This record gives sequence, structure tokens and C-alpha cells, in this order.
Amino acid sequence: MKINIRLEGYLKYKYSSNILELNYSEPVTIYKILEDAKISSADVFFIKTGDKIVKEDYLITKSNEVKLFPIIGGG
Amino acid sequence: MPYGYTGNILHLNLSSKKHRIENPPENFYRTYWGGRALALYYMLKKMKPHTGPLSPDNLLIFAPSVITGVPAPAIPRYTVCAKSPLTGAQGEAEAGGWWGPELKKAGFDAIIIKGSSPTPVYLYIKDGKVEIKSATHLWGKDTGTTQKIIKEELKDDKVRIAQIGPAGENLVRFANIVNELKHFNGRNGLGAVMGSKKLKAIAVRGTKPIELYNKERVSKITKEITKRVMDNPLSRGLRELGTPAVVRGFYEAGCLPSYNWTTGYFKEGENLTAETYNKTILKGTKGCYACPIRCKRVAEVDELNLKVDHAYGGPEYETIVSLGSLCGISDLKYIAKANELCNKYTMDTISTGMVIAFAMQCYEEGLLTKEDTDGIELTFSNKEALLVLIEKIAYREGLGDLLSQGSCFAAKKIGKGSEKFIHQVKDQEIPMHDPRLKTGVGLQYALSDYGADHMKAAHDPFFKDKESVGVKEMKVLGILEPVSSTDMGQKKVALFKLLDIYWTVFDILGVCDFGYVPRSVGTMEELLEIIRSTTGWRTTWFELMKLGERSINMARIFNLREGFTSKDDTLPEVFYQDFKGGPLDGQGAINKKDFEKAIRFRYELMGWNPDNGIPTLAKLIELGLDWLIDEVK
Repeated sequence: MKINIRLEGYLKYKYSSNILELNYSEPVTIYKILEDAKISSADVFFIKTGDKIVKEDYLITKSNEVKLFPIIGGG
Repeated sequence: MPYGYTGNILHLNLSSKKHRIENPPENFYRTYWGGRALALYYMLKKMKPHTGPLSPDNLLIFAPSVITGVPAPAIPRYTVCAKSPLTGAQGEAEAGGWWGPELKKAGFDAIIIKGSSPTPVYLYIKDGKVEIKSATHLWGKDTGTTQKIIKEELKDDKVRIAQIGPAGENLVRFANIVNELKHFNGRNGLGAVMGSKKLKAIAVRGTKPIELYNKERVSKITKEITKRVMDNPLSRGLRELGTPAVVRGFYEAGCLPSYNWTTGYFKEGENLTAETYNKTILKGTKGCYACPIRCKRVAEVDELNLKVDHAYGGPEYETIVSLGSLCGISDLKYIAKANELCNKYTMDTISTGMVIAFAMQCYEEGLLTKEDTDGIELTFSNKEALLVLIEKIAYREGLGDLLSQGSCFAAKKIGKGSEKFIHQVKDQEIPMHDPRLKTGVGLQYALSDYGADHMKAAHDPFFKDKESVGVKEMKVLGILEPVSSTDMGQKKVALFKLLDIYWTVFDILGVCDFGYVPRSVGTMEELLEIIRSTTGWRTTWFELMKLGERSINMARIFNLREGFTSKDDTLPEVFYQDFKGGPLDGQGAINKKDFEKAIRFRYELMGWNPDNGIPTLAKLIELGLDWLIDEVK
């Protein structure tokens, strides 16, 4: 199962990449994906997979793209 | 010898054309420091309750702070205060740029303006000398033209000019004040107060350096922060993507304010993202005095039928949404043009977008017809109508005249249930951040003493995790634990009491929220050391937080005097409903009872009567505001 992590906003600068790719043999939570990718959840405001906004305990069961949006302040 | 400040406050009466210079003692500066705190001191002492906002008796106050203009990152700002013609409450707006530091170099810590000139004038201040000059030839001119003429007639290209355009002259109730064509005292309609005084501009020029207590120390900290700014991804994000970076997250999550807040789902959102901006209209970036971040966008369009002049900057996040998705418009070039027009005429883009989106919804719902709109097909997404209506508002023509008085006024006039299409707090239109996902922002919308504003406290996500910058870097305030962005419990309320005071300190001192934690890389310790090294005062965050709290209580009392009550500390009804459409469809409603409980608890935390939100005598005495006790008896 291939998980593409797409990093948006300043996350792509912080983690030096637009896209990270991870492979899993069984269903995996977003929490575990972030941990494996060494991405701090403190940096992430929204997580989107498909058309859904999900939380870190969301279980991914098939190959998918996970978009991470950074924390957002005023502007 | 004062360090950081000049010791001179200029009092000017435009009716008599006389001025005097006050030299308050050090303790005055140590109590009020500048900005809104200093301004509110004079507004409470010198203005009678219920003074008409557009009457000569309203005070219009320009106030940098004791540290504005120190050559350190992100401390260029100054405040303009007056009773607001939009809200009727204490009015306030801060701006960056160069004008604040230049006023200090020209020899003044603040300008307090009373009265009204019978004919248009502008003020010229150079190295302590004050002149009132005729502006008859400038009246009616846009900001770019006015700036050019003033610089030419003063034969000084380095003079810094704060001014109003035609919207301020025509008393549009959300007219703003601009310096250097692209830095705005944006909200609350303070440009209309300037217009009511027939004051077109204030040109300042100073050649004296601001005296610092320890210049070497300031320089050392500045170098350290600047190095981190260049390396840090958050600062890089601000520089390379700017505030438009906010668009993508909100658009993809389905909480981008759209179609006058009827939905957060805007299917053409991709067209408004920072990435699209950079590819299509971005010409470059600019910064403010002594700031290495350079977050401000500069846009240009050069097409046969659409030209946008880069001299007026470019739309930031709030503008992209308020003049874009909120009106159903997804063409960045037209949004940039709308932004340019607002900047030429000096109109707050948030309120402008909000009144136009309101009118569009009224038209779609049949409450306005072509007869009311001077023949304009005022449907959502009509980008030509957006540009036409901005002109009409600035010059108060036809429907534009009605909208120029703000959405609350317009809804009352239109009637027919149109009140349900306005979204405001204390009559000020809400900004483009949805509190359903950031409940602390909602608390601040409701409690803000100058109406809904998104810069009244740092936003919730900076405190969501134990590793969040707000939790790691702000322990000195007692912020030790994370709180979820959508939480509305007592810990959230307590956190936002601190954050409200903390950013109020920033406002008073002229510190940009984008320069220091939690929004950026400068630490609290570094900022404190800059303040100490500028003034020579061995101050602490305890003293600074008391300063912020003092000004919040002063504003609260000003508003009580004007008839505001706890009933005005509310949120628009739309936020008590779930999102409609998009990924968040059917979720998000704020529980109204929980919100009301949170407001009541906040009053208790502030030392205010929980039943009516009035500051207690004990609180006033604690803050050195015993001179206001009679106001709360």
C-alpha cells in the first residue's frame, strides 16, 4: 500500500520536499504515518485524504494521498 | 534624557489652527507607552461621552510607541485611534510601513488632533517644526496622485505621507488611512474621521536618529533574529507565499468564506491560492522599516483592458477572500484591480467586500432589484459589478451611498429580513477567518473592543500540541499545556485572556505580529531585551502584560460610556450553524450556550462583573486606573 504525503504551504520548506512516499503492508493511522515521516503534528492544522478532512486517528486501508496543511494564523 | 521616545506630544486644533507641545513626565510614558493605551488616556480624559464620531470634537490620534522605529525586526507600527464612525465604539487601527518611525525621527511621540478645518489642509512636520498647509488642490485626488504632488511641492522624495483618498473625504464609514500607498490603518473607518476634519494628509520628515539606551545590544539581537528569519521555514513561507498561503488550507478544508458566508466550499479556490498568485500577478515583495521578513505582496497586471499598478501593493489573504470568494469571484486579476481601487480611494477591503457580498445576496434573494442597483446585474461572481460598485461606494453614488455606511446601516434601510445576511460584531463586518475551526478567534471577535478583528490574539492552532511553538516558547506567560483548536472550555478561555493581552501589548508597542512568537521566530526574551535596550527601563513581561490589560480596561470603559453592554459581546448567528457543502458539510457549529458560558468565564478572569462585563473597582485600582472609578459606579 503506497501512501503519498503532500506537504502544503511552509511545510514543504520545513521538511524539504513537496511529496514524501511511504509504503505499508497493512492499514495504518495518520498518526503512524506522521511519525514515520518525522513530521510533527504541531505543524499540521488540516489533514485531507480524498475529499475528507480527517484526524490523526483516521485509518487508511488502501493506497492514497494524504495532504497536510500547515497551522494557519492571521493575515 | 529619554531613550526611545522624544518626550513631545503634539496637540493640534484644526478649527483654531493652533498647536502646542506637551512634555509628559517619564512616569506617564511608563504607564501608557504609546499606541492605543496613550490614545485612550486622552480619549477618556478629553472627550465627552456620546461625541459624534464625525464631529469636530472627536479626537483623532496618531500614536507610535516608545519603541516604534528602533532598528530591530518588525517594530515599525503605529496606531490611529478615534471614536469609530462605523461602530460608535473606541476605534483603532495599526499600520506598518515607515510613517511611524519617521514621526519619531521628526520629534514627536504622538499627534492629537481636535477640531475641523473649514477648508482642506495637510500637515507638514519636519524636525519638530509644524505647518498647516492648504490641500484644496489635493481634495478629490486619489492617493497616488496626492503622494506625488506633496513630494513634489515639498521637494522631498523621502517625506513619509499618511493620507486619505476620496472615500475618506466622502465620509465612507469604513474609509481607512494609508501610508506609502500600501500600509493601512485598515479598520474602523478612521479615514472618515480624518475626512470630517478636512485633513487630507500628514507628511512627516525627520533627520534625527531615535536615541537608544544600548544601541550595540539592539544591533546584536537584530542580527540574531535576522539570521533565523532567513533560515526559518515559517518566515520563508511568509516571504515566498505571504498571507495568501492561508487560502489553500481553507479552500481544501471547505472553510473559505464564500458567497457571503453561505458556504465555506468554493470550488474555484485553486485560482486564489498563493501558488496561482505567484504564477500570475506577483511582481515582487516588500517589507516595512527595518524588517527582514518582507511579507507584503506586490501585484501587477498589464493587459489591454485591465491594468493594476504595483505602486498600490497587492491583495493579501483578507482581501483575496473578501473581494474574491466571498463575492463568488475567482479571478485574481480582478481581485487585484479591486484591491488597487480600494487602496486609491482608501477603503477597508474587508468591509468593502462584506458590504458588496451582502448586496449580492440581497439581489440574489430578490430584496434588491435592478432599480435599486442602478441597472447593475448584482449577482455573485459578477466581477465587473465588483469594480463598478467599489467606485460607487467611494463616491457615494446610488446603491454605493447606502453601502458606504456599512452593512448594518444598509440592512436597516433595506429591511425585508435582510438583517440575516449581515455578519458583524459591534457593527464591524467580520474578517475572513471562520471561528468554527478556531474558537479562540471567535472569542476575540466577540470581545474585541473595536468590533470583530482577526488580529486581536494569536490564533488557536499555534497552541494545539505540546510541541506547538506557542506552548514551547511562551511558558513565561504560564502557557504550559496545549488546547485543541475547537475546544471551548475554561482552559481555552484562560489561554485567550493571555493571548488577547499579549497581542494588545504588541499593538501598543508597534510590534508586528509576524515578527515574534508564536507567529514568527523572534522570542519573547529577545523582544523584552529590545524593549529594555531601547528605553533603558528594566521592564518585565509582568509589567508589559499589565500595560496590555490596562488598555483593555480603558477601552472597555470608553465603550460602556458610549452605551455598549455585555449584549454586544456576541458572534454572528452563522457560526452557530454547521458548515454547508464541502468536506466539512454538516459539522462545526459552535454551541451557543457553551459560547455564552465562555464569555461569562472570561469576564471573571478579567476581573469584570460576570453578569454585566463591567470592570470591578478592585481591577481598576490594580491597574492604576483609579481615575476611572466614577465611570463604573
